[in-house]
Amino acid sequence: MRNFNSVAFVLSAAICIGLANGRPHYGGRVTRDEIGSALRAGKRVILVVAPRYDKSLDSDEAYGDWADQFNYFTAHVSKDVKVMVLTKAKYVETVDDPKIKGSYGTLFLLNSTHALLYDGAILEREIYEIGISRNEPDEKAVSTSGLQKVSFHLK
Amino acid sequence: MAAAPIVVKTLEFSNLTQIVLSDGDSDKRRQWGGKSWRALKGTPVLDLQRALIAVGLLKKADGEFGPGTKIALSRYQWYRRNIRVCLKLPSSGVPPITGLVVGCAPFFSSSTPGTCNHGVACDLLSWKQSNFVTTTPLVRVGTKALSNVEISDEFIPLDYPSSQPGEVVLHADFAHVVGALNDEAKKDNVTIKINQAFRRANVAPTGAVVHPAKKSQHLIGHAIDLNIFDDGTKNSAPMFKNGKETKRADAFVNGMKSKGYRWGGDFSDTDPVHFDSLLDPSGEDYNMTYFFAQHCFQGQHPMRLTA
Repeated sequence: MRNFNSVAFVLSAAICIGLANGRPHYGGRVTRDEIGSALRAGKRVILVVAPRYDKSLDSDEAYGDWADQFNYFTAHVSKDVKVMVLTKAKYVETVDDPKIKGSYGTLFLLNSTHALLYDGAILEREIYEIGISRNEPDEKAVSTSGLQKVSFHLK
Repeated sequence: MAAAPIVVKTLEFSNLTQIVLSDGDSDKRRQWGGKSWRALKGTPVLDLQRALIAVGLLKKADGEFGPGTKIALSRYQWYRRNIRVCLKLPSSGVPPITGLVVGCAPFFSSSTPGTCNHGVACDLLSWKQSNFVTTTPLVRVGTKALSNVEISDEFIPLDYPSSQPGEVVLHADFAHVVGALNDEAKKDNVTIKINQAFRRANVAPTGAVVHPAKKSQHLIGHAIDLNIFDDGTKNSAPMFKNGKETKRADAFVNGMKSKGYRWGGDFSDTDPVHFDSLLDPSGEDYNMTYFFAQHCFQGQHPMRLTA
């Protein structure tokens, strides 16, 4: 039992350190309060909708390319940016607008009411770069990046 | 009457004429070929393991033929059937590795049972005596001489000693894709910028939060990600997704598909930057290719450069 407690403590500490360092986290813990407090704290917030990993995704090339680009992005993004990954089900439970068509989507929140949406799996680094920049993309950038300005409402 | 002389027989690894070594055999228990041989002496399992260590496929020798030995032997058998290149160590047999030997004659074995008969033993011993080591099926492919293919700004160079700027790393059997891309791009008057090719496993960058795909074609060098540029316009993934790609980009994709390459734009979750040559990820060939590609990449084996 003591060993189990030690392992649990180390794991908890590792998770806390990871979150304290601004590392993104995955899953069901994302709440509207968490999103709201990050925005109030002046952080850029990115909500990423993606399927929860299971072995069936191991040979899915679209998932593989998306995960590779996403992991590269999160490894290099500023600590002032809070990246939250959630499943489609959790997204639907938490966010009223915009709707996401498929199982992937990325919302770069501009403020508490608007966001840039990429409705699909981002497969090119440039799209993250456009989405994360504070400036709203011009018409040409929107056309090539697939980003669209949308209203954002939490439930 | 004088007693008959006791004949001590020794089982030599190089002379396994009657016995096929297999999982469960043990020099200590004198069990070989699944049977007990109390009258025989020898260390054929130990000799087999030492040969597997010499060719770079096993780490420890203990005279016990267990699952590790079986896997290493299966890998050797698969390798000898499928790969026609090896490394030659210096005569001392101690790394650093010196050079590639191209065209090692394949030892044709119809299967990879992980058992060792006379033929396999002789082949292994000849490799050991020649200081040959199993190596990677990956090659470096240069793009600098190509008119319509280049490396994109998004390309992340692999941390690899023998890899140079302007090169991509691919499986030798898929390296032809670069020439095919150039030919098709020339025909359709577009430029191809490569974003990624071979992908190293188990190196998720710091801060990564999602699991990488563990059976991707990229992990065996059978896939390439790219963008098609048409007169300065980048045909990005969202342009394909929204049906806004240029006509020449469409012609390029169709041309590549007609050459037999699989395009990610046809997947259910579309991936229009991706082309590959599918090797069944649930099959033995995928698993073996994965092992040799990743194992030798991590060991930083020298890699051939192809045009």
